Amino acid sequence: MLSRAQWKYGMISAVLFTIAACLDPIEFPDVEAEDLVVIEGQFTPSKRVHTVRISRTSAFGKKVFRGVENAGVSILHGDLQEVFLEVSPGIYALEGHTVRGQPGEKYVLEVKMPNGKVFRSLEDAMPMVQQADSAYFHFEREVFVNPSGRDRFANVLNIYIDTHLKERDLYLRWYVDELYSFPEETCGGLDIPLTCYIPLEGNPQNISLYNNRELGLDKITGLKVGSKNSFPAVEFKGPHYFTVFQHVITQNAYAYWQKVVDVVNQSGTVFDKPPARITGNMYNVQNPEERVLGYFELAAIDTVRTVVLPSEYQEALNRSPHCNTFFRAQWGPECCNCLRILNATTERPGWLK
Amino acid sequence: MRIFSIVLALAFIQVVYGQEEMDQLVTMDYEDEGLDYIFSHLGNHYNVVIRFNDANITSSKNTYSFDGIQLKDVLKIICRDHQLTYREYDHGKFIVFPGFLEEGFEERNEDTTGIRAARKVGIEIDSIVLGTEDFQRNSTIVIDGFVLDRETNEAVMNAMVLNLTTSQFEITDQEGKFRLNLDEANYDIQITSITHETYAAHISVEGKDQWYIALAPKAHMIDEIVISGQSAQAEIKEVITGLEQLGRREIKQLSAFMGEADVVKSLLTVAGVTTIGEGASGFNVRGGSIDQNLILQDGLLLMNPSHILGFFSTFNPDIVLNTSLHKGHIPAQYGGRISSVLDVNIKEGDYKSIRFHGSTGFISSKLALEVPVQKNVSSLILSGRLAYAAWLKSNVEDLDIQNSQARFNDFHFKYSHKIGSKDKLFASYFQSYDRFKFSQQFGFSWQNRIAGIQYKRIENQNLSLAASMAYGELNNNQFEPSGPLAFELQSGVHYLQLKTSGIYENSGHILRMGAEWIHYDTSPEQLTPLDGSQTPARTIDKERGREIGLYINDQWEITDQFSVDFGLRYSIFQQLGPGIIKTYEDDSFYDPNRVVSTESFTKGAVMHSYHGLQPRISLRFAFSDNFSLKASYNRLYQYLHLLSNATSPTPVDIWQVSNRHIQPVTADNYSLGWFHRLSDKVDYSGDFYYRNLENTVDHRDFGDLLLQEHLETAILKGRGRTYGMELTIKKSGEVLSGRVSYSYARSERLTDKTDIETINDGNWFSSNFDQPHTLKFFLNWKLSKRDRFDINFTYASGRPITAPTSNYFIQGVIIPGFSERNAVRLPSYHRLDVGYTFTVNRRRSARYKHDVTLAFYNLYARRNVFSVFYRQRSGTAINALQLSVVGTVIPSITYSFRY
Repeated sequence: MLSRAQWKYGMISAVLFTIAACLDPIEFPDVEAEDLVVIEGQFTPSKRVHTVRISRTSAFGKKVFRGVENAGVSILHGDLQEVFLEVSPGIYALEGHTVRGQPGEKYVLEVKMPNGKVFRSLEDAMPMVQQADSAYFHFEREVFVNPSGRDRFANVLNIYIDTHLKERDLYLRWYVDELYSFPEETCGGLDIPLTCYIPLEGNPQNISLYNNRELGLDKITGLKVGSKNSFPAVEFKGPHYFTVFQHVITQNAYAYWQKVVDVVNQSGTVFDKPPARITGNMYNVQNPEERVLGYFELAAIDTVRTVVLPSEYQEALNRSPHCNTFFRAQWGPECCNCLRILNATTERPGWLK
Repeated sequence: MRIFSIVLALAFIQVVYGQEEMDQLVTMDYEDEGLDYIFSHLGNHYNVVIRFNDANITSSKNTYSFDGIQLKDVLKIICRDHQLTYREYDHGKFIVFPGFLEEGFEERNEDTTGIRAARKVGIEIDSIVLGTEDFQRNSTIVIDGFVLDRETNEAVMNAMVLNLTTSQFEITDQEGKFRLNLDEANYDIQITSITHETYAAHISVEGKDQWYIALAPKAHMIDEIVISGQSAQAEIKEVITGLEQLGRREIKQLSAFMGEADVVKSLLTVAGVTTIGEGASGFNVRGGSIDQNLILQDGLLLMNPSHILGFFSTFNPDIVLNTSLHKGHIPAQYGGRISSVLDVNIKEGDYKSIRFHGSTGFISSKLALEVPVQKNVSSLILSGRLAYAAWLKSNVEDLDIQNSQARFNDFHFKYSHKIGSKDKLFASYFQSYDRFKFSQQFGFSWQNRIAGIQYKRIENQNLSLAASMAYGELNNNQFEPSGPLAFELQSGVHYLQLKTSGIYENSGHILRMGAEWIHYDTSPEQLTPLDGSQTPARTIDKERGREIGLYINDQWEITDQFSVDFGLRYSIFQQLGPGIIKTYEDDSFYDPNRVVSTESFTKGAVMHSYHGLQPRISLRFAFSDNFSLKASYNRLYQYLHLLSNATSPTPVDIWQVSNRHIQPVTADNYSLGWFHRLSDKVDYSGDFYYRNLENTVDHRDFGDLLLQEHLETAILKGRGRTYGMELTIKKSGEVLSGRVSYSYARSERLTDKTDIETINDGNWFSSNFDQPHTLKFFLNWKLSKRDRFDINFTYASGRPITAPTSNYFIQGVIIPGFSERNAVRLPSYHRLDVGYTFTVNRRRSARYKHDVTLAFYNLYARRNVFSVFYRQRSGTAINALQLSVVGTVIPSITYSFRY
């Protein structure tokens, strides 16, 4: 006879059997990878280098940029034409910070491929800049669902934004990137301690979109546009800056990004929208039936920043500072030489000068 | 009700209900009373059933005085005086017939069935005289028979009534009825059934009559395997193509998931019936979607027959009387769906004694109770089922499991009341509730409710009438329980259904006619933010409509070889206000940004209407007793649509009535089939079919169906086709029985090609239910009288999906590039289940019977793919993951009992 404990254990095991869902990688070996042209880029009214990237699709599961070289890339604006130069394989730039978009004006991207094919974007108008009021952060505790579907409570630093919307039918997209400063410690000798600046690329898969067409709101308050859930102490030894890029985009671009969100943010539940091909705004002039991927986006960008000071970090997460003077033996090499940190530079960003 | 009072008067039978004790002492005076009055009075007063034929008793007036005489002696006295005999043909039920028999006849003959006059009683074969009623010489004599289960009084359908003298046979219908057209002569009749003991009788036919036969159930058949609901003979004679019938015992043959027998799971062993996998609700018939199946429970509309994740259906097999699935020809009495009809009849409670059935397993328990409210007059059947995994879950440390919920319950109540000899009134209520929540990520729940009243009247042997009224609702709820966008979204559909029907049988015709009225009221979609959520509250009003159907259908047996079932259904659908109709620039593509005008309608106003005639015909030609060929054509309309843009159908998809922009789906079904009996125990059958669909709708790529005020802007119109072939070989037998079936089935869609958007460039593409090859195998092996073993194997082609074929970058975002819609197939689905049932107490006389089932679902732990989705860790490429809802073997033990 089973003991009471054995019986209980057996019953529980049986139930665990019934909750027997499994997640496994799946491949589609018989599916032929498509080889399509991808054209994407952005043109703004800002003084900046505008880039267009031309590539071909890679096999699913591969993170490879297959740039297309020797293409002719230009922006058409009425009778004017601004030509891009190829700066690296498949990447084309509009040099000089001098050419920029004018709000309300219409632009078309034209790409002449080495094989003679000509692709153009659908004509669209440059949006007006919409200034963001402020960005700010909060340390919070959230239920975090990891990729295996399990959940746990974790510390999260959320970036919020407040923005007055001066127009109806505004379509907004945000992107957040990070930069932290790292002041070296005094390690003896005559060297003056440096301060390094280390950029961190935000996760581009986190896409925040908003439009006020249906709700008609004239102000966005406390909209979360980014979050960070890992907090290495090295990133908070000095001020940690979050830059929020607020893109005012066109209605068509907004619809495109919505589809991107649907495809890349699948949860695996039965409520996911079925994935589908995303059609952008590029087409083959000679053969409109040809599929070409990508989107040439016209966007007006404003930036706002928020900074997390070391004391705020230490207080919120109850952490001690990096390169703690009481534990000098545990210092890493970066404490005395911040240039040992990957991507570190001593050049202060322009917006900090 | 008036219609019921003006139809034909009682011709043959008077039935009086009462108690059984024949030893009751009778103290009663009758003065100048007719025998009909005396029998009726005795029956009423002493609670026994005394059946007699008016034609067989004299109209003379009689005077009797009984003072403390036992009832059996009273009957003997009366019968002796009038050259009559009485005999108990069932518990507490007696029949009186001409011809006085010597003392003791009744006792010797107690195992035989209720018949008219028996001149001689053999050990194995009854000798019976049928009919003393005058009839015109040289004309055919009609004998109407009823085959009943002796224990339960339930009709025995699909029994073969074989005339050994003429080699002709008839098959009993769902009510156990059959009809013999005979000459005045002697015949040897044998009645066989795969569920009951064989009965034989030598009959002398002298006139028109009715014949009641109560068959004893086969002792070893109690809850055992019967591989086919219909016998080979029945299949040959069946005029309706693509009809599958299952009785309660057949449904119980499969151990299915977690040891629970289930109606829908049993149907999934039938060729042409598929599901897209574990976790999906509903079932697909010949490539149709789940909303294209009309599901009736005692004739009342049921919107969602699924319990949690589709593992169980809401039908409790303990109370199911029989099940019919029309997947080919759909007679005109059915309407509103285009793919199939699943007609599930719930049994009536026992009229004589309390009975109960039940089972208990790891996940759920169920209990059904039958109670005679007034003996032989009214009965009640109550059933309930409850899942109780929560207490086990609480013992598991895994946070996800602790935060998850999976529970369901259902409750069924049916009250049956006999009013006199002809009328029956039924009142029923059904509800089911399901709730599923996975961790803190998502969840959904739904609830069915149906309350109905039905009235049936058997006017005479030729005419029966019925009417019903029901209110039903399906309430859906989906939610995200936590997070900044936590929400709850409620939707549903309510409906009121009125039906009336009549069946007239005569001269080889079974004529059905009737009318049906359904009012649909789709509930508003209500989005409610949960605590702390940034989701704004919203309410989207949905639409209403009413569907009216009138039909006439005749099943006509023209000759023994040739018969036809043909009918016509006329239906009207009206979309009702309040509401707004938008007019778009382009009627082939509803662009929300290109609205030309809007028109408002007040409450109850007809916003748009459709109507149409639906001819239905099915032909059967029997080339021999062993081979028949069948063909059918049906036109059907469907006015209510289930719209989904999820990866797979969910229990919370949106019901939408037809409107100006979403037209009714029209189907033309063609079917050609044959049935061939190779031997007494082996037969094979096949069907070719083709279905053409018009006005189908498919979701636009990335279309939002939820909280969509004008759904037409999220869909694309088109058409569809399904076609294929089904082959089935069946082996019947008491030791070894089984079935192998193979289906080749295609289901394809085509969207209208517009300049703006279409699917797959306007070419034909596979629907979500396109599974070309399906192989099913079922075997039941009775190891001994106590043990049986069953094996079930299913193979199906993988269903089509839209799969990633490439990667590319847009502003640093890695985006998977996808194939055309449904251009790639998932790995094939296959699964093996085995079950072993041990009958603990199998004595036929035992009142309490119970057995234990040990079952293994997915024996070789195949990880069949339910869905595919894509995940990316920061900085890496996107990976495809497959979700297997059941990724391992599932053992179960179920204890079942009945009393």
